[in-house]
Amino acid sequence: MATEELRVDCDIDSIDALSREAETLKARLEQERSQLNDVDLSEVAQRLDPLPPFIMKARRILKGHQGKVLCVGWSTDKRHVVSSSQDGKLLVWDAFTTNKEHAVTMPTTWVMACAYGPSGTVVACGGLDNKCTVYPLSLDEDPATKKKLVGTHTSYLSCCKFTNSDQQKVSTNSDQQVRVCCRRSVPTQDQQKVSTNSDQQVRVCCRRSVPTQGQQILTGSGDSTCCLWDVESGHMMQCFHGHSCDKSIMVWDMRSGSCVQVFDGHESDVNSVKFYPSGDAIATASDDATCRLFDRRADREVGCYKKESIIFGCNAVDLSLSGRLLFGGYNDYVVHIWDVLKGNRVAMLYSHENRVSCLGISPDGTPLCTGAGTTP
Amino acid sequence: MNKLHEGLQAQRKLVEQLRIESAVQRLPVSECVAEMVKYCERHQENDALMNGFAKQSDNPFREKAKCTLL
Repeated sequence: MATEELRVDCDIDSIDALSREAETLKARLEQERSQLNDVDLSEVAQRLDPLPPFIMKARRILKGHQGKVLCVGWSTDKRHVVSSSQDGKLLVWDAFTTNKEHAVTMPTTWVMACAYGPSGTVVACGGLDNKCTVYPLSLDEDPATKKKLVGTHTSYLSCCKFTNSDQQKVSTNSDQQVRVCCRRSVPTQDQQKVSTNSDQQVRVCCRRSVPTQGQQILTGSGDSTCCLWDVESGHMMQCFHGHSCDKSIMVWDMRSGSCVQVFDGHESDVNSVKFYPSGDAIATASDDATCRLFDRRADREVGCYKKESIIFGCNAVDLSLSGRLLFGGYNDYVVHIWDVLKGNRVAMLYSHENRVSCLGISPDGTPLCTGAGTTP
Repeated sequence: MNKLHEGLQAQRKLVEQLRIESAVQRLPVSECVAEMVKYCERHQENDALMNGFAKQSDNPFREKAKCTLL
């Protein structure tokens, strides 16, 4: 009995000690981050020339979904687009001709995630069925007959991405309730570890194909986890726990499964994340009507893109090839385009008649595909 | 007792995470920003969304010229 009490005392003591340590560590982090915040991005960018006038028009309208389009993805051939919708359909388009090449009816509505495999011959998708399914695309037979179940979550699938030999991915989480888009994860683009450097976070952007390319799928789910799956065997290779209702962005090491960096700053749910093309920063979109830029080496927010007139949340974000332009798809039916360096808005695209729920720039950086209301 | 144990576990995890985070090597913002600007400038020429196309025919999504019968 006495020993039991003693143990309880000990535990309370160590809880207190741990809390104290956590507090000091938090304070130190805050201090170190602010110490290094010696200059403002927009100040540095003042000397740069303003951007040339922005010319862009809607080239193609892909009509066919009966419900809200929830996700779009480009193929690496820069020509095909996969889209998924609330109506439970997955469509594969030829963006040049606007023809539908494949249509898959899912056993569920709300297909919230879809992605093209790097080989261009498979697509992955999932939604309220809690599953990530891979469909091979061939002209001879119905893709549904060859479907392959890769992974199962305990809640809906909110995003899926094929890995491209990436070392790390980023994921965001918002509330765990079933909402339209709660959680996304995006792997970095073809990044390899610098072998001479033991620090896993120092990376280069060499584009090199590795044998395992496209063999693994990353999924994010409403059950607050991200998982890495092997496509062939369907085994879960890594699970990333740690998200809670926290408005934060977490960077994970794909090999160890541990979280290496956390960014706070958003005042509401984070809906979308993208790596900056250099891999050193992360762009995010949130329900607090802002897009932000977090630098991984400075370990803090370096840019916030907002305007008083923009009061609606942002659902999707992407960056142009050079990283100079940031595209945000907002709930006010508009795509706002920001100058990443100067921090001002350069243009708006009005072609949708409903909330812009998703967008993506093709791998060669030329066309932009947006999804919304009923047409992507 | 069990709750206490869980609390302890959670707190331990938090401290461990914070330790990892505080061990991160940081660079001054000025340095990172300078590199970001350099990256943008280096890749600017290839960014069709910024500069448009040199020739209309480079755009795969341009409207095809229509044939007209005379």
